[in-house]
Amino acid sequence: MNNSRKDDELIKILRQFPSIEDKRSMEEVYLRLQSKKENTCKHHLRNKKFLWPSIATIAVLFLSLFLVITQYNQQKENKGIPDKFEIAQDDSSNQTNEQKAELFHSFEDDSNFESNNKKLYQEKHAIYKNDVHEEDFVVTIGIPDTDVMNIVPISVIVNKDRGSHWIDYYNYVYENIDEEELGLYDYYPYKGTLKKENNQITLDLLADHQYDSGTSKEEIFFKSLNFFKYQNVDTIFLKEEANPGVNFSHTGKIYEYQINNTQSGYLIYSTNNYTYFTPSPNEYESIEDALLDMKKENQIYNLHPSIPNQFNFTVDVSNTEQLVLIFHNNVHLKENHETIRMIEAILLTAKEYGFDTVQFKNTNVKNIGPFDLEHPIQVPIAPNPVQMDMLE
Amino acid sequence: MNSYFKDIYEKYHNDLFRFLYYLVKNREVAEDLIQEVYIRVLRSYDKFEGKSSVKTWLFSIARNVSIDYFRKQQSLKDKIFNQTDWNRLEINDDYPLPEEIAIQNEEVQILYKCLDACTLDQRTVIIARFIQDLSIAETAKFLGWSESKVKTTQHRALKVLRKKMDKYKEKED
Repeated sequence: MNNSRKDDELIKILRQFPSIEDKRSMEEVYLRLQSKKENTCKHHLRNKKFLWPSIATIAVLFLSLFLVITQYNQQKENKGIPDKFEIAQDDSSNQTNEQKAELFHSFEDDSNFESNNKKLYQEKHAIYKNDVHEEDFVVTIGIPDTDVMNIVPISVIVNKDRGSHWIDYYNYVYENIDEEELGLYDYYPYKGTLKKENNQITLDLLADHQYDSGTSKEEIFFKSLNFFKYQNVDTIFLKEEANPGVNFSHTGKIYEYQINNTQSGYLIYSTNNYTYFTPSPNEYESIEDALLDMKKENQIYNLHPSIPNQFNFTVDVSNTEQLVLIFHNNVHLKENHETIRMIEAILLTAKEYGFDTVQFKNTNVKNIGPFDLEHPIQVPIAPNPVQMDMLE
Repeated sequence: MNSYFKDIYEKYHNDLFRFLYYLVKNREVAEDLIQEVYIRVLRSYDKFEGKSSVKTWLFSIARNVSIDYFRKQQSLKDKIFNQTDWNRLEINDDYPLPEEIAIQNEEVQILYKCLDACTLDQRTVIIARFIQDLSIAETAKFLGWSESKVKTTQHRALKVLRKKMDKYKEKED
């Protein structure tokens, strides 16, 4: 038989290969997908044979946790125990979860406007110049959400007596931040040491760091490094056990990581108790496109719009320092949480694109919460402030 | 349940699973890898520009996931990633025949074993072309190759399989 006929025979046999099917149901695959996403950053190995008992255990733990939290909140209500973390300037620490959820989610709740006016004034979700004293330092880090899809920026005001260099303040936050308390993923501290060497910012990882064991782990690790942009750092030197360079299975060996300074608008990410401004995964060169993106829901990343879809506006970017945002005539701003959030999201996005101030024009009201819309508003220093209890 | 996931699962899950299974020849590993495919798909669905078909896009993700898997396997044996040549890498495994294959005729069983003699690229082309029934153009698209490269690789893969099958037959005789 000649080769061509033999090949035809082979192809015929190959076409007889059976269709091997996944024996799991769609629901099972989806459940495992969720579980895998949650475990992407965990540093422990999982034995696959025990997957189902593990899921059952997780379910039991989850229920237990739920019961404990409920009981804890009831006790807290009775005894007034303060939270370790509180959203900065939020006076709702003694409220129940339900009340908190209401505060963060019920944007359209205008009926209690009078009684909520004080809360609205205090409800800021970014750190502004006036919030920071001379002895304060603002540390902004990126914490993965529980699905490890987004990296949520979290800012902490640290007293400067905690060190002599900004790296000291960052290390202090990495050590002490309780991500799970914030409804986010337990990620810090880094498995390694952040230090200054020969005027270079170096992250020296331990041999068992595991940031290289999967594409998503690598991606999240690099995304977390991007948050050093807040300290105007453009390069992080990577080492492993004091040896220059870290091998990443997907990216290859990296000696110097260049901070990625891409820009995007801010959307809203909500946990059960808290709501955070989170950068959109869609990056845009122009702020106009970024602002339009902020009107859209992103189902995959579970991010909600920060600008109501019905609000139309035009922007003037001719002054590189001041963004002018002109609302169309049919836009009627209401003094509620939703509007405050929109203003703050626009201010944060303006900061991303290098503007110092934002002037809102053609507004039907003079003030919204703490914001005086008649004058240019200074952009914030950083999003999502949390207070870390220093008295622990 | 995420609607994109549901949509993709219903249309392509079987194809993707079969593709991954024949590449790695291990059900448990294929199950793990397809999870990783979904994670990547859900991460980048909004970036999918529609330049290729959803099917070829999904297969390219599955291929990348499998390369990552083999790279990790390889790194256990050989830490020098950069010297790994995917065109040359031969995949050898010691897994027993799955029941679906074990009930087939002898020729299918032998050819299934002979697939181990192919490199990863060769095996990918063989699976894509004759088990998944993708066209030369579709295969070229998801591999990011020219059609002529697909044809050459297919030709070489068939040659490898032919020789291996001949050796098996010689042993029998």
